[in-house]
Amino acid sequence: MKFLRRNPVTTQRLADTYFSIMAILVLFVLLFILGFILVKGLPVLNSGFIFGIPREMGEAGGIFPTIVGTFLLPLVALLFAVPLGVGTAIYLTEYTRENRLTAIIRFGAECLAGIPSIIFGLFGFVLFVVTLKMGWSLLSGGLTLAVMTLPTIIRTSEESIKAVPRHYREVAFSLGATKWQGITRVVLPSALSGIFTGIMLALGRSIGETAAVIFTAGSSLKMPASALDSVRTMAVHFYILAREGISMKNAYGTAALLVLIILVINTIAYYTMHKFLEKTHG
Amino acid sequence: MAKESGRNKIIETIGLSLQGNDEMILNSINLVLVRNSILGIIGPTGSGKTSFLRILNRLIEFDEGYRVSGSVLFENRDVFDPSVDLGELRRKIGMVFALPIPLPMSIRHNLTFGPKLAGVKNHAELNDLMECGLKAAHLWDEVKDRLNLSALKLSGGQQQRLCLARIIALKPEVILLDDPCSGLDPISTAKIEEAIINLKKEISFILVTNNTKQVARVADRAAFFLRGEMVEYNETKNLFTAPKDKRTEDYIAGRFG
Repeated sequence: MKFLRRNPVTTQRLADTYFSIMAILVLFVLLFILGFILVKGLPVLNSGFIFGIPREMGEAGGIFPTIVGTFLLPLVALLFAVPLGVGTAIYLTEYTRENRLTAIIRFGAECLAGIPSIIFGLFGFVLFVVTLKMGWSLLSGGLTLAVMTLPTIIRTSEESIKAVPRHYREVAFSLGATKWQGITRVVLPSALSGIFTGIMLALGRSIGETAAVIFTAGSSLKMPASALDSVRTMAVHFYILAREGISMKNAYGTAALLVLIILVINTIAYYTMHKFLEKTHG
Repeated sequence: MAKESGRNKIIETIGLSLQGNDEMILNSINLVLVRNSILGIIGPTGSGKTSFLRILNRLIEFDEGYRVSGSVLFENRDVFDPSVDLGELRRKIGMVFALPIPLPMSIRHNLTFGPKLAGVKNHAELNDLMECGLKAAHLWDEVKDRLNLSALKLSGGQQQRLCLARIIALKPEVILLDDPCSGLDPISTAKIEEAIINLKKEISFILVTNNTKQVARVADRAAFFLRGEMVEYNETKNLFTAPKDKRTEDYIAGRFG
């Protein structure tokens, strides 16, 4: 090892090689998974599969109701989680001084973030499905996912609101803004990209969730007609097809489409965000 | 010191004190800002100058653990009166901070931010206010072709003039300048000083600074603060040529500071 100490140039080269290999390895693993799913799944995809109604438990027919479920369930979750989470973050950063209450809220959020999703499923089942008599439904599932993703949204929003320079608030006040105006017109727009990242993480978690969803939204293959109907998401559909050995072919098809949908959602979302930031920050 | 008639006093503080967590930050300050004049406040760091400014437009309430006593009269009305509309007060008593702080938006939106909060909706009127502010701050010619550019892209000197323009667009009665040129080069400083002197016929200023010479150049009256006390207040030329207090003399001569 002596030569390492003597020659910083060689050390640097070795380090460069090491980091490059690590990065390439990670990329390779990702691409392998993606490639594997697409190779197995893409041949299954056609309009009949995408827009068709499932028959024989999903062994034949399409998966359209599960696509609808995949969009609706996270949407319901975000509908509850975003106002609650961002609101909590604003409260914690703008409306209170650090005290016991904020410490408790923050600690609670941390704890929630570490709980396995199946526990949320059980909780959602007991509270929403049974006690509140919502049954296995879009609403129960959405609320459960909202509770599950709340910590993520609170933490990321709080961090990004905290990162907004204190000066901006002072300037807003000195220009005659009320607290509300300062928050809505200066603080939140500046914190938006961070808040948005948190929402995207929450969305990703909701779309990919299975355990908590099976417990609370059920797994009906019918098209949901109301918020109190049971739905099946693509992730759950994939799980059931593979687990029950119904059809590996259709399972891979579902997985491939799910991966593509997530890619498209992320691309559109980040593109929109980028455009927005360009407009405000120049 | 000449006694000012009530009509000429735009701001008057009476026995104004500021109690911090464990020390007195300001001790019974009696000071008058005469309408259409520039009052310079000098003093070493920690003498309470900035805190004094922050009390006048009640920005001090943003900080924790302070207690204000005494009174601040703005146009003969106590600014701490519960009926005072804070937004209205801060629009009338504007402030420029030591660091240039453009909001992260375009030049145009920086200028129309305040007027919009004040309820101005008409496009032409907003444009007028923007142009008037930028012109008065001697920035118009440099930015008129790129009003939609992010204000963060301007140079430091331009940013500080933008901050001044932003306040002027609100048509204030008073502007509080908290060491506005501390980070600026001499040319930018000169532009800001020129702008202030030109604006004196419409607006009254309080200029707080560590730059004693700047006060000598632009202020009509000057006050010297030391450790929370107002040591001396007089016409600028008297304060600088014939200080009554030994401490003022020492500070101006640069024997401490």
